[in-house]
Amino acid sequence: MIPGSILFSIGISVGFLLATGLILAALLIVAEKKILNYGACRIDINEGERRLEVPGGGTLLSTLGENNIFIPSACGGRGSCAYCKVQVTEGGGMVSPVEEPHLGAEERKNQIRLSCQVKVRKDIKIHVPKELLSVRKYRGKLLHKRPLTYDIVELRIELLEPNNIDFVAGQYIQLESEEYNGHDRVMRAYSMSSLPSDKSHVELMIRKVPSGICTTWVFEHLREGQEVTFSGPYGKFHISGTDAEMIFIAGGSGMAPIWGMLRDLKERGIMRKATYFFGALTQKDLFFVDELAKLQQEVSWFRFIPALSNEPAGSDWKGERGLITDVVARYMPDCSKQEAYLCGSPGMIDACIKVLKKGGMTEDRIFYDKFA
Amino acid sequence: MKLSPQDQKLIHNLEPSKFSKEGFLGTDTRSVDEIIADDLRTLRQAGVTKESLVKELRDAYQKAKLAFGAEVAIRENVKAVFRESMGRIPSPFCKDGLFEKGEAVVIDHANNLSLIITSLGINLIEKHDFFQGRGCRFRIDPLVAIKIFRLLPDT
Amino acid sequence: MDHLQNNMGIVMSIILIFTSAAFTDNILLTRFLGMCSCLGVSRKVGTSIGLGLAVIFVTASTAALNFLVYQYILIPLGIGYLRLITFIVIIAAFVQLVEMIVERVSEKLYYALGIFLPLITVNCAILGISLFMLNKPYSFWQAFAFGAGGGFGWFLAITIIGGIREKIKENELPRGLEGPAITLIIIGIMALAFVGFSGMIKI
Repeated sequence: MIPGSILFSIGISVGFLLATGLILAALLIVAEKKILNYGACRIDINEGERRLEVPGGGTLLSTLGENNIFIPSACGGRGSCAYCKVQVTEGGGMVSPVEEPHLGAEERKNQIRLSCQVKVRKDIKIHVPKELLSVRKYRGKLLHKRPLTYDIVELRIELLEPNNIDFVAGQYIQLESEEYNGHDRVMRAYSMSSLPSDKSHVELMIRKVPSGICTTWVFEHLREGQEVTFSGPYGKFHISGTDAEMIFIAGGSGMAPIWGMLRDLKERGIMRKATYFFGALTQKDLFFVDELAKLQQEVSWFRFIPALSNEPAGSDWKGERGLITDVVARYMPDCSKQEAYLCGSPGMIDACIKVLKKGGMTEDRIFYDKFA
Repeated sequence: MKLSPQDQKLIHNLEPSKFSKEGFLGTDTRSVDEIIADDLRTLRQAGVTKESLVKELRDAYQKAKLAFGAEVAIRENVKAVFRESMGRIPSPFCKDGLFEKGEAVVIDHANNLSLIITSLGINLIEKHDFFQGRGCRFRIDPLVAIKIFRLLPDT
Repeated sequence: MDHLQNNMGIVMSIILIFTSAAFTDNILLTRFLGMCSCLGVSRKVGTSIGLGLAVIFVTASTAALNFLVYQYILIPLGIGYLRLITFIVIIAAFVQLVEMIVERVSEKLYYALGIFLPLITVNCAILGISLFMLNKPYSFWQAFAFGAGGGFGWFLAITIIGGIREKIKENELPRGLEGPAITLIIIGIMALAFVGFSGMIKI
């Protein structure tokens, strides 16, 4: 028989602990609802071009994403890739320590912020490049994956949802890889090589990168018939409206946007003079040579010059030899009247710009996309 | 042991992530601090300064990069090839910035040794004394680097 | 006159309690509480100061809060023995609440202090201060001073440790003494220095 006083104190103890727990839990729940609820906020994009009414509290990047405005981002909002920069003119709050290293003095003056670090807590005014507003998320089906060389494949994707895309030759998309071997989904940028008139398909050229998360997925895990997701179109790399002669320089998978541009020119009947310098190491790095030679025969305005830098001396190669920059300099000693379109690695682009400037070309006539 | 938010972030960033397929620690079971301390000790014992090592790495990287994928000779029996890739990779350390992704593969045929030099790899050594973990593709082992570049004790 | 002297006495006792809690009875160096966060976060002076300031705020407020709960709820109900478990829950909830408020009110404060708050939710130095204050017959303000002083002492200690660790970062140490090991030795030597204060103030 347990004495009543013991039962009483057990009751009090248990009751007290229970009450404390419940009260504190209720307090925290109410606090979260009250304190961290910012109510509805308005996002004004490009001075009224688009107006959104959104629930506050989230980051600018994710809030825009929920409203189908896709700012490019590779890290998924961790503040480490610095791709998601936008101009926030009002209501952005303080620059966080995470953003600081990614923002230069000029960017700070222009109120550039990392949209993944800006919280939507009140009405916000932002400016984004106009073309970003037409970026959509797409779902498609992989029709073909065919090797172009030993380390480059071509993908042809049929669009499912939405089923058509409006873009300009030279723009790129961000392909999303799927999880494999414990690797997260990642987004990586690839130029489109397909024709803008073929609105229901997208073609890409992808080179295998050792230790590349997305390219390893493309090469080893992605199968024909599989569904893929991507967003786009992005980028300002496209053919200008002038009628200046054009110099295209690209090697490897850098051919993708150029291939799209050349076919687009032909289809639209534009007769601007154009020369394409295709730089590669040896013959096994070349591809689409027959197609490009055929284009050269079909139209009068196009000239194709493949050049190999490392082809063995005694081989059967009849074309140009040497570094692509030297070959360009040889063919175009004076290029002050031309425009140049470059696609490739940052190192190649820098070297080409040097050569072209030496030939008298001004920087405003050189176009390229370094992918942020 | 509890870690400051910055250190927690660093450790998280050193693991395989959306940017680095294998992460920066490889199969190494040591902590970052131990890796740094061990490698610095190796350098000290060899009498080589970090600065002279970084300079060799940077020179080899630049030389390979300017050859656009063709093989270049760094010295006798040591060749380097640059493999381009697009885009940039953020440093795992806070407030450190973005780095171009290409890699210079350096092969020493005489000693049968190889190294992969990246601009991020050079920066990690220069600013953070971090040579990356054992088993990581991009580890720049001080002993291997000293042998490949025939670094002599600084006097 | 009597009244005034009485007030003076209370103010003096509060100052004394603050000083003794900070120096002679330094919670980190004489009782070795809060070691876990101290070892992990004292690598740099900057983070040490941030964490230290957060600790001062939380110890002072939770000491006051727990004092009220103990005196006016636990004692009248006759369940003083439940203080340990009650204090833990109150501290944890309080820290969470403060984190939310700081995030809402000031971004600047959040980045300077708020990010450290989750680290100290279950810091034993904070619980320790709340429990030790019950050993003495303190009034409310004296308990508050004890909490603030204890937090200040912890802040002082971790800042000094952070400074020393930054200073010796480049120095060569025998293998096995690096990191936490040398930090513990440093704390030990500092503790010797602080023990020198003991007995100076009796409260």
